[in-house]
Amino acid sequence: MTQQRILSSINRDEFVGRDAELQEIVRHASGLTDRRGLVLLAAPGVGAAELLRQAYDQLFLRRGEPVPIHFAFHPNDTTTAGVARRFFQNFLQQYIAYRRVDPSLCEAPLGFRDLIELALPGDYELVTGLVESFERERAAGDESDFVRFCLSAPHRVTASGRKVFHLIDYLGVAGRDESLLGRELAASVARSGGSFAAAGLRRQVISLLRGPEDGREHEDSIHLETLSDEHARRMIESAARRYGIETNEPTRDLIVQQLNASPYLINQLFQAARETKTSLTSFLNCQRLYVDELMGGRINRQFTRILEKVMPQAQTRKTLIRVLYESAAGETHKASLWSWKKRLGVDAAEFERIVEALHVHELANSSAAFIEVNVDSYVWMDYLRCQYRLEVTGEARALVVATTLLETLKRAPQTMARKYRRESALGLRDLVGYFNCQNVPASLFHYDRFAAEHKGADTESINEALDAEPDLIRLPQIVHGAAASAYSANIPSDPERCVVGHGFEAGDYTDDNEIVWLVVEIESKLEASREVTEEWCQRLTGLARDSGFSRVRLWLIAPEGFSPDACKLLNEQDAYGSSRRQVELLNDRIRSTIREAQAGRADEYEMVIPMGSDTELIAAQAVEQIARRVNFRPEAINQIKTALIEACINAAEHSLSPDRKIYQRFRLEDDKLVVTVASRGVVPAKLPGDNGHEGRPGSETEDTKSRRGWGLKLIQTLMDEVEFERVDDGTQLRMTKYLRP
Amino acid sequence: MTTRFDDKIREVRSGVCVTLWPQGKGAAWGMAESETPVRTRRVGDTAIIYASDYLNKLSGERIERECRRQLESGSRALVINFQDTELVNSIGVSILMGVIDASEQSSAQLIFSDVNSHTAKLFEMLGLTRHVNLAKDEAEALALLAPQTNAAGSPAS
Repeated sequence: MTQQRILSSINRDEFVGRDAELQEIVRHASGLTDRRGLVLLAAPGVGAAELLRQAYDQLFLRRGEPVPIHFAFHPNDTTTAGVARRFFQNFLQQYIAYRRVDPSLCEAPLGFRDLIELALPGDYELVTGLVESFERERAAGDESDFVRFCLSAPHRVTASGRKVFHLIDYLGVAGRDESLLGRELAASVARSGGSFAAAGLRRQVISLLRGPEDGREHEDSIHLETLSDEHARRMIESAARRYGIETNEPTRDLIVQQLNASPYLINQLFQAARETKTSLTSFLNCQRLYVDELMGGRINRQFTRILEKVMPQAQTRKTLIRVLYESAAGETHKASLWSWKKRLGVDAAEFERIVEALHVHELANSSAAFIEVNVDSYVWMDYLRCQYRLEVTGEARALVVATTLLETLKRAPQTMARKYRRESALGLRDLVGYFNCQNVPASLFHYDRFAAEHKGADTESINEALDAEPDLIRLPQIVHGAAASAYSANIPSDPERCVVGHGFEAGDYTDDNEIVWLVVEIESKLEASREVTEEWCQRLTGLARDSGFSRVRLWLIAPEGFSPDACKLLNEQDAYGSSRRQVELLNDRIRSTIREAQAGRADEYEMVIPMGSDTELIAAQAVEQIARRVNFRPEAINQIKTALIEACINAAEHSLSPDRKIYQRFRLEDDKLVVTVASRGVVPAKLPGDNGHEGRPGSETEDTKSRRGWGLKLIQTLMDEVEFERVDDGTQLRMTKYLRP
Repeated sequence: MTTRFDDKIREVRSGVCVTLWPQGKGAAWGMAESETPVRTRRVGDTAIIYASDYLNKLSGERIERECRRQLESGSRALVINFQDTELVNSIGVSILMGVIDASEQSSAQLIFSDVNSHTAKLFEMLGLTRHVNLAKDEAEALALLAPQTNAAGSPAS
């Protein structure tokens, strides 16, 4: 059954992609969290206003306490007193509607007399008192007292024993007065002891809720990002059904891409389609309608309204459009704040307000010294270009319309191609983000070796061979990954196909271990040639040089791998090269390790012992019992016990542990026992970088009469694999013993 | 493993509990251990020293101290018997290097006897067997030493 609509614009079943956020609001309204407020930090145009309205409807129809009250600031609000008055009436009306279980009253054109008549007998005194006080305050003529009284309505209701949940839409807050009022409203709600959900632009809403002097965080917050492509497509299907607009799969995809999956823009476009009775079954129809919207429709009005608020005077607005467009057209899309201020010719306070407004609406990103135009939005860029040509260069409107239509049509296949490329990309940023000191078969990073050993083999055989591969590469721990395009405009690749990963080798946070992985997925139908490979190596090396990266690792990925000459070049440059197949195998390995780690295992034991007093014997006895369960031979059991004792002694001797405890984990797998020994405290100055690659005890070069320092070497001799794992504090040694028949 | 080792574990367990008390007021296990004398016996000029079940820093140092005492009191050869030793750690082994040094300086012979196979491998890994001979048991150890030592003797402590 479809949920009844009260304030919402669309049916609940058509409202897609925000189920989790909706639930969270309802959870807060139900008092299931210890925070009194929930802040929705919304990117522009992501449908936050509708989310609050949907939440209102849900809470209204759910009944019980608290009473939901929805209030939205409007861009057209002119006076503080007007907003306060609207809030008061809105509050009273929604309160009575809820109490009478009559949703139709929420937005009915009612006067105060009507409200008094509609109040339930139990609320009559409260409502009458409020209305009388309202009239009295209004007649007194003191605006600040009047505003304060209006905003105190929630307090008066809660004082009478009713609980209220406020849904406040701050998205329409524009001027300074509204900002102050918004803050006062939040304070008033807080004083009343009520709880709330407040939505606003993510770069603004926090400052609307709290003054600069109030650094405390009283609320939970959730981020409202743009919809996923899938949800945006579903939204388009709903809108098309609702408005009776014909669409098809390619046009739906185009609209999603071109409007950046923005619910607001999608809705605007479909309303225009309904009004003009335009079927959106071809790219030409879509782009015609889009260009009409850009030139004079809703989309145009939306941006124009923002720019008019930013710069009310027509002449200076024209200058602003020029400055914005010319900055966007520049290579880096940014300019110094100083040069902007000079060109705009406004005083410091006015300039600060302009930059802040552009920043809040995400038309530009400002920092202390620079301002960068947001060029990621097709719509904003198209609007800006059109306005520049119309207002600044004075081109004929017909010409601008015609050429914009031509350009958007030419761009459409590229837009779609870019989407397809993005969907087929390997997801390098995610992949490198999972790098966390795992040991992986080296052949996954050397196409020549992989091709020689595994070409033509099925996945199962390859995985078996990889499992047995002795040559391992220890991945770094990547702590930050970003598209290379964020570092340099000179990288001719889609953002998701060329990434920069900053991290540390061995997960050890020192200058020496700092490393940057530069990873690119290059396009090549056959094995990538030496020329293409060389070109990319140079690009990435140039990026490293320009960005000041001291230690880098280049990793090139080509769908079909690399030609023998290209492999030679990669080896000469100490760069890695993989085919798509290799990367997929690597991806599977890394993700399965993570899944295993997250899932935990039934046959895993944990033990914590205090350091000293020979407590390592307790650990040794425990591991003996565990090892016996899978029939390790007595000799192997003794080796495991001795290795564990040595690990415990090392932990106790070297860590300066603050808690004087040794944490142990014993995990039985099909063919092995994995023992992990960890302790907090100081990391020993010299840990072996690789698994068991240090000298062995008793070797000819060893001075056997040196009295100490044998422990680690002994462990490496007794166990099959030994590895220090990265931990934030102290050390963690993982030792593996394989079960041999 | 043997019952004796299990007894030791029980002792350690009580030690773990005791560490919950303030230091010095009840760390009973360590105190009791430090008071346990090292078992030795003399066979002529040869001193036979018996290592405990766990060769670690503490027990290793006790053996070292006893060996030095025996050498100072005129022993011409030392046999360290590991028949009770089930586990060793690298610190304990490193202390045995001190015993090897001490016997070399006194020109005394040193033999390890009754070393189980696991411990023998550890000694080999750590290079001890390059400096000391291993004997299957005390009899073999004494036989190896016979040309230089007097076969008659009695327990010293």
